[in-house]
Amino acid sequence: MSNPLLQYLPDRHDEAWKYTKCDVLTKHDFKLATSTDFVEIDGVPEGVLVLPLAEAFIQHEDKTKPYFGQVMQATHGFHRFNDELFQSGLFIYVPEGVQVTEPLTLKHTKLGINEMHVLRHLVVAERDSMLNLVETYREVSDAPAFTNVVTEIMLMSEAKVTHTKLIESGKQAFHVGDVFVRQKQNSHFESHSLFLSGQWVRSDTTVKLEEKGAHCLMNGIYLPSDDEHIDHHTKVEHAVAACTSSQDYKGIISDKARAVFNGKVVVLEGAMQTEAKQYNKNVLLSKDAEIDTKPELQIFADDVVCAHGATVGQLDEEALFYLASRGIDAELAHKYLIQAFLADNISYLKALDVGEAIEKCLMEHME
Amino acid sequence: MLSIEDLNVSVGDKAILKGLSLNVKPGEVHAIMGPNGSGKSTLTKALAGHPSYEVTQGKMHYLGEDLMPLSPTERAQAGIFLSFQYPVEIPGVANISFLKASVNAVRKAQGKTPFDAMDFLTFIREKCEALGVDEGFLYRNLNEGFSGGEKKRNEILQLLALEPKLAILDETDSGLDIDALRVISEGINAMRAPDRAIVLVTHYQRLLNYVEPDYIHVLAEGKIIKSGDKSLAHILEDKGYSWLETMES
Repeated sequence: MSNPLLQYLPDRHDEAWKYTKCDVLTKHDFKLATSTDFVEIDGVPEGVLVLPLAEAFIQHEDKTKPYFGQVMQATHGFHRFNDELFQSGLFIYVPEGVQVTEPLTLKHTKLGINEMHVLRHLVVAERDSMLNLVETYREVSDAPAFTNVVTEIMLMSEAKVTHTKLIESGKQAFHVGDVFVRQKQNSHFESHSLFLSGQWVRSDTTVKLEEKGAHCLMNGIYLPSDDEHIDHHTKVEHAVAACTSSQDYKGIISDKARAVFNGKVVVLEGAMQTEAKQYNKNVLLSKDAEIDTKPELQIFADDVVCAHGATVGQLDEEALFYLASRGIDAELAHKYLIQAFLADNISYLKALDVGEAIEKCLMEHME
Repeated sequence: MLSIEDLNVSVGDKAILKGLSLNVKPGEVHAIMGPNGSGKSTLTKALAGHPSYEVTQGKMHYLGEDLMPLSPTERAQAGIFLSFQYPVEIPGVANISFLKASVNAVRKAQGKTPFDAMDFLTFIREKCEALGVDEGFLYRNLNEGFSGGEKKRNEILQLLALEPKLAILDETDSGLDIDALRVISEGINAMRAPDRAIVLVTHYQRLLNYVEPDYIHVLAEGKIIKSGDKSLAHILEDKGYSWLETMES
């Protein structure tokens, strides 16, 4: 058994892995990649520091040490795996007052057969700074491969960070990704996740709102087809008063694909005037498609406004008939209704510099 | 153009149309009136091919062809248009994209050249002008947030743009104020042509003051119980539907 991953796999009784079994990973003989040149950087904005994490540990110990491993909250085997075995990654530092809107894109490159990439990124956005970070995973190869990535993001007060993650992987791509976020006073974090394809994808987003006035928006679209499996786990912790969070995840599941959504909002004692929303809506396009959705609220404070909900349904028959009665064929009618279902999520993307490119990619995928 | 014989239609287990027959020739305008629940909307849905409306008996022929095997899309492409009583809202899809897709799908099926973007814009602007709707209308999402009147105007805009051979208009006048009713009626009247038939489904005779039908049929309990010329509308207005129903029994 040469696959180094095996000893780290979460226990099959672990509730967080109930619907996403790791057994599939044992069927492949994954090996750590020998090259560590995994990430292509597109457009480093002026004033932003971007360098390999290993170099940053030496050159910028003062900026990395207080945060590395301090944003992450390790809870399962993949976290330990990443901590012990990460091969490369970037340190991204936005100094105080530096505000850039043009995107900084990290393109994660193609993997070889049975190759495993283990990455760790650390992002620090200093006071009153702004960053628009995009991570893309678009392996064209259909060979089996595994990516594990942990991204730690620290937002100091008044900082604004947008993190967009696009996965459009090959049919045998396995991916376990974590985004951990800590937010200081009045900071603003947006997460946009677009998971268009991939054999087996697990994504966790964990946000801690730890000073008043912090706000986060989490926007997700997932479109698994064939026998793909896509799992989103989110956790937003309201640790102090007067923070707001909003989650809107939507899935369109076709063929024999399966999706999982588990969202947790935790409002700690004393976190009054919290406003938290969490929605997960799903459309099943075939009778074999499956979604396991579980929104959770844990509230330990008074005077809070929290709302959550999950829905599962099909495309609206009346709307399909309306379009058909106008001579529009079934394929385009489906596309229209999917566009309508995702309209809010797509409108969040329009506000971004990268929104248009990602929306185009989404539309192409739906063709 | 349209020949319906002994039509029986059920929704689920409920029989709604019970032996309806109707003949419509090119150039004619027919009005179908009747009390609530008489089956007026069911007739329109069955003609357009709604999957929940099951034809259990009878025949529907359009231009000599059996309608039954045709899907709703194929019926629309063959030149049948149904204006909905409650048009569906589709956010995220611009009205103009939908209109262009619809018009071009029908044109293509009828062997006409589809419009390119420029030609379509010129074409649809003319139709907007004829209906007195603002061009901004085209760039809003399909029926999203439209008022009742705006939705009906959008239906009539589609009628003008699709140039169907058979137009079936379901309660197009409901929820319209008098000015909107006049504009919409002008739109419908402009579509009267020797090679086109129009079937108006309406609860009230109000619309018929603006769009004069050649024939009026009264539908009750799933079949036509009385047919006549336009003067029938005025008798109904005076005496109500109960007059006919008591005559029937």
